[in-house]
Amino acid sequence: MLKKVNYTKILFYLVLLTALGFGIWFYSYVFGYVIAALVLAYILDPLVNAVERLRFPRWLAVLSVYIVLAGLIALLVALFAPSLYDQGAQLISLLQEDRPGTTNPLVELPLLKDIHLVLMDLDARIPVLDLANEYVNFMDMVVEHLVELPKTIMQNYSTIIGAVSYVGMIPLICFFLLLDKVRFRKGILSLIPNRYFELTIILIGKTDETVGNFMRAMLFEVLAVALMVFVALSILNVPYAILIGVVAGVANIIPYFGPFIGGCVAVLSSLIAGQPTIMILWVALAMYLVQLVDNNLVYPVLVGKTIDMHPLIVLLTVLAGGWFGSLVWMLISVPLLYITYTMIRETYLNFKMFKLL
Amino acid sequence: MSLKDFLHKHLAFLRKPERYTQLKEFQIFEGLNNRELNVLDALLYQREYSKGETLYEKGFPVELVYLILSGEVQLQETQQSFGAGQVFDLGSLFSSDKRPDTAIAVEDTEVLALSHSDFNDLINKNRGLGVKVLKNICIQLSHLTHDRPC
Repeated sequence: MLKKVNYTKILFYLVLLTALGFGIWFYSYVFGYVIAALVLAYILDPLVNAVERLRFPRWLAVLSVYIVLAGLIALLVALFAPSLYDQGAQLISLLQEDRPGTTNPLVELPLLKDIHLVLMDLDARIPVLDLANEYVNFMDMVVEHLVELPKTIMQNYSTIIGAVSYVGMIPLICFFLLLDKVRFRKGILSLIPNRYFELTIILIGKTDETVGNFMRAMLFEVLAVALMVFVALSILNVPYAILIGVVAGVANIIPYFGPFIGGCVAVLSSLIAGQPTIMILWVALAMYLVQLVDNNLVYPVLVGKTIDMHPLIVLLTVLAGGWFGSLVWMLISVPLLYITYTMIRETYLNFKMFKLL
Repeated sequence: MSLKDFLHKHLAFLRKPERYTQLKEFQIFEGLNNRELNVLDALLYQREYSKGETLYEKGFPVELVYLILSGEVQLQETQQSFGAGQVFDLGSLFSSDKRPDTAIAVEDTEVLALSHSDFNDLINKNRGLGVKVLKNICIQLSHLTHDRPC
């Protein structure tokens, strides 16, 4: 016998599905905001909890963390931003500067000039060779690209303004996420069927533990490395110490290769500034020392365990990130892979224990 | 949000909703003041189980302890029954072993579920509350074992 079709039911679910699809499409633009705000909330949550422990109501705790952080950021910006900006501008003007007698400022730098001289010497000995010119041409190209950088930034100002509004919105969204954390969690959990309820709570707990701790640790590591590089290079009198510190700290997110990138930037900047060639050694040593402290002191204390990943996988992941998106994707690809891997592993283990798999 | 709503929400512990009377029915929450009951309440999930539904199976990981508001829950192996105002598998508040037994709702049952990691978090934040709850649990345990030396 043919079962009677309940058209009302089908119609209702169709309408519901359409509404849901439209909703997803409509809100897709703010997805990024919510995710970024969630990340920020994860980082700030322990601070808010610590203040709450002093018997502050939650809203006051969130507010005080915001005020203190805003003050700290303002202080840091006031202290470092002018010199950071100056250092960046100096670096660019150094590259744009026209010096009499040479075609290219880079070729005038100590080590690079030595190479140029060797090549000219070679050219003189072997007539057909024209290496010196090729070399200068190549350097011209490098300078051209470096000089273009500020222009590129200016041309993409609308993107940058978009980014600023993005940055402004996120603390606001994060504020509400922090304030009503428990309510949001309860709301979402009330939708979960009984069979999956305990499992979901366990998974949320695990996520809090791994992802939250990991992101917080990463943030503090970036700050610690940036500070240590800044101090070390300041002692060595390397110019642009703050700029290099920031770059090295951020690059440090990528395991294995990040520190190397930081080191390269430091050495290059020492060269560009026209310091003697021997400084390469000292700068490299300083960067190595920072890594030593980071790997043996900062990392074990903050994170506890390292991201246990084969260098090849890290390399491929960073490359894939570069092809997939921009520099930002290269930076976040490895942590993202780690978080995804951990989450899938935990989900699998718990599904097994709850006999769902 | 008006100021009144705001105060209403964030100074909730000044009100005395029914929920507190409900919570005070549970022996382990005896002696908690309204402020403490309010923070505790934020962590409780109200769930409904229909007759015959399984709360958990033997061997499942432990995360929640259940406080029964109404209805009845039975443990399969020991055939122990628990009714309104009772808490079962209290040990799961402090350990995360496997469930020793299967729990099934014998009739339509309303429970409050408390996650043990939330609870540990809470007693770390609120030492006073932690001590009171621990004291109540000790009293309950001593009632259970008072004719057997332990």
